[in-house]
Amino acid sequence: MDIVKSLAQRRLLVVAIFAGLFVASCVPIRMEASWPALGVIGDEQSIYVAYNDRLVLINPADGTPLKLRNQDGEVRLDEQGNARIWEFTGPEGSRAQFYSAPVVVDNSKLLVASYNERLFEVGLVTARSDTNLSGIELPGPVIADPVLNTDENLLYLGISERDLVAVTPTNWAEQWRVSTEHGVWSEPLVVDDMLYFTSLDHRLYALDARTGEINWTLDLQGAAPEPPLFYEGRLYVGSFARKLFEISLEGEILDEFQTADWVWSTPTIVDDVLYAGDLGGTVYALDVSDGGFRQVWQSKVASKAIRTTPLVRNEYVIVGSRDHNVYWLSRANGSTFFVRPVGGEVLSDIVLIEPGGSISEPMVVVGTPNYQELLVAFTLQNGERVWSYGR
Amino acid sequence: MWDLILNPFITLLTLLYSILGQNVVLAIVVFTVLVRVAILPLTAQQQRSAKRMQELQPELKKLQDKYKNDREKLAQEQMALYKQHGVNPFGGCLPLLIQFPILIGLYQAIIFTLAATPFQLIDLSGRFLIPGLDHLVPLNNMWLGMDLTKPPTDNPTWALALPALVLVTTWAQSKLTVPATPPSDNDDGRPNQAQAMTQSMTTIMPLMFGFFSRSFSVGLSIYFVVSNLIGIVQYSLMGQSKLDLSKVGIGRRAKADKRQPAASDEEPAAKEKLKAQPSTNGKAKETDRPKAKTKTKNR
Repeated sequence: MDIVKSLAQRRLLVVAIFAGLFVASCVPIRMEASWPALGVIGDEQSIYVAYNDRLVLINPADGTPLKLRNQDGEVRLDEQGNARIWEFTGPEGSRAQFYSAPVVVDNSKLLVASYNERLFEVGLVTARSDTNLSGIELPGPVIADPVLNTDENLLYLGISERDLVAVTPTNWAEQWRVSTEHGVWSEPLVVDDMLYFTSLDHRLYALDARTGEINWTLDLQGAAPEPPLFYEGRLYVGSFARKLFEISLEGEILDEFQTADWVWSTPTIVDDVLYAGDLGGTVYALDVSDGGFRQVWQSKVASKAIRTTPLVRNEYVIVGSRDHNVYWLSRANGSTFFVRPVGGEVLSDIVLIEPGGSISEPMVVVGTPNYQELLVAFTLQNGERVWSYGR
Repeated sequence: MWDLILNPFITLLTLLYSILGQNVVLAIVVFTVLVRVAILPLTAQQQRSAKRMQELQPELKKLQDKYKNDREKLAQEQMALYKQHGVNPFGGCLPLLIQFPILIGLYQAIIFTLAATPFQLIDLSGRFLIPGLDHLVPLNNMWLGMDLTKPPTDNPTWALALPALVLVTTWAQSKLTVPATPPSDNDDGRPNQAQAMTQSMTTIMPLMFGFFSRSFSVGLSIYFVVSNLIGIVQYSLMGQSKLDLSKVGIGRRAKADKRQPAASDEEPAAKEKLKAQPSTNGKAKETDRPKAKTKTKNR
């Protein structure tokens, strides 16, 4: 074989292979912007999962999509005779993406914000958008959960690129806007007449909930993608500065706690003990009963990030991790009771389903970005897998 | 394993961003320059190897003519020739193989650092190798009214100039680094496929990168443009004989390079033939050309 020709061909093959790898590496590995949003709707505790191109309601008893029913309670069928399920995908061709929780309005409809800058009004019974089929145009993509303030008749929307916007949920007119220097990925917290929200521009903002007038802002020294927690007259929030903050309602830092890694979840407080996880896989339990932080325990639980807000119930602190595991920890000392693997990274907040109806015991439901296992339900007490949902 | 390359690059890029007044574009430019300078020895070695191979072409052509019917002997003689001149025929491949992961890591670092979505931002966590960089996250992603994390099609109209710049600079760099000789036929009359492939790659690659850069983030397109410009300067400074910038419309057109291997090496042979054969009026020119007996037979 002609060595010169084969050498040239070999080099070209090498170039072509690496050009292909190069281009392949340029393409984002994930098409999705974020992980599923989970929550519970209604007395039946229907579980919503908003992920990528659709919003689905799930029956908590068996993990199957809710079936649509007519006024007589009969299951609706499609043209092929299959039961129609509660699933909303946005208008055809819209390429709508959903990563935030829907807002329930009057127990009759949902307001669903999408990443492609649209807001849809979806019938709670029909799973269809009968008005404004193409959706209401939003000022930007939305990842944060919208919040409806019924007292002020305002819907608050954090825009993924920057700014917090307040619109009236009737004519969708923008009432006011607070400018930020980076994205708002956290839902606002409304306490009395004040609204608090965090931004990736490192600030915690306190506004008048009606007018949007800024009362104060506070530098959290790092990006803050999650909202603060209000407890006993104080605010608690974490940031990428590797800190948890205790803040007065006047915007003064009362105490700080150093964590090992970025904090990307809203903490939870049960019986005066704050629980939080960080992206290094450590979970913290801090006593806040007398103001300030006093460590009860900290436990390096997982090999990868813990982004979920810990679920605290009975003797357990339950967290999920990017290492594809759900951990049941001791509330007393942070030791691990048991671990349950799932099919994907656990980044969505964990949902608690209370017993009732056909549900005999409490369950915890976790979400993953794995389409084969979007939701997994375990019994609270012993972590027994009950069902999983995928599509 | 890949993090061994990626994390240092992410750390360096973020550090530069901090030092350079939190200007992402400036950080990308300096970052690219630094990495390209760091791998300059590899690039130089690759180019030297390519140049030596190019210089051996006339000798290789002679061997091909001499042993065209004995492939095994041809291969032996070619290897002997390489050995005689101290040339490793694969000497240009190893530097290339080493460079590619570094260059891939370089632009991946830009993708990671310009995190714009929750998934991208959480993927950035835990990658800084030195403390004190957390407060910079997320980086300021706006420049000249463009969102650096979005593709040109999701930015103001002028952002569409970037894919065009990517195409032009990629083409210019390839023109400067690949010989511009047209595909010549082999002695058996068949086209030289290797040369043809090389020429088509220099056309396809710029078009491919230009097309794909419409989908890349603006920040990544800026990296490609800067990297290509650095490559152009780099190859020019390395003094390659084929680096005639007038080919790409820069500066005066240089005199034609008379060291065309085929012509220069056939010239003495042609002269020898002229001496051996008595010239006859009207037929002298025909005797200058080597006779292609194979072609005649095929006709």
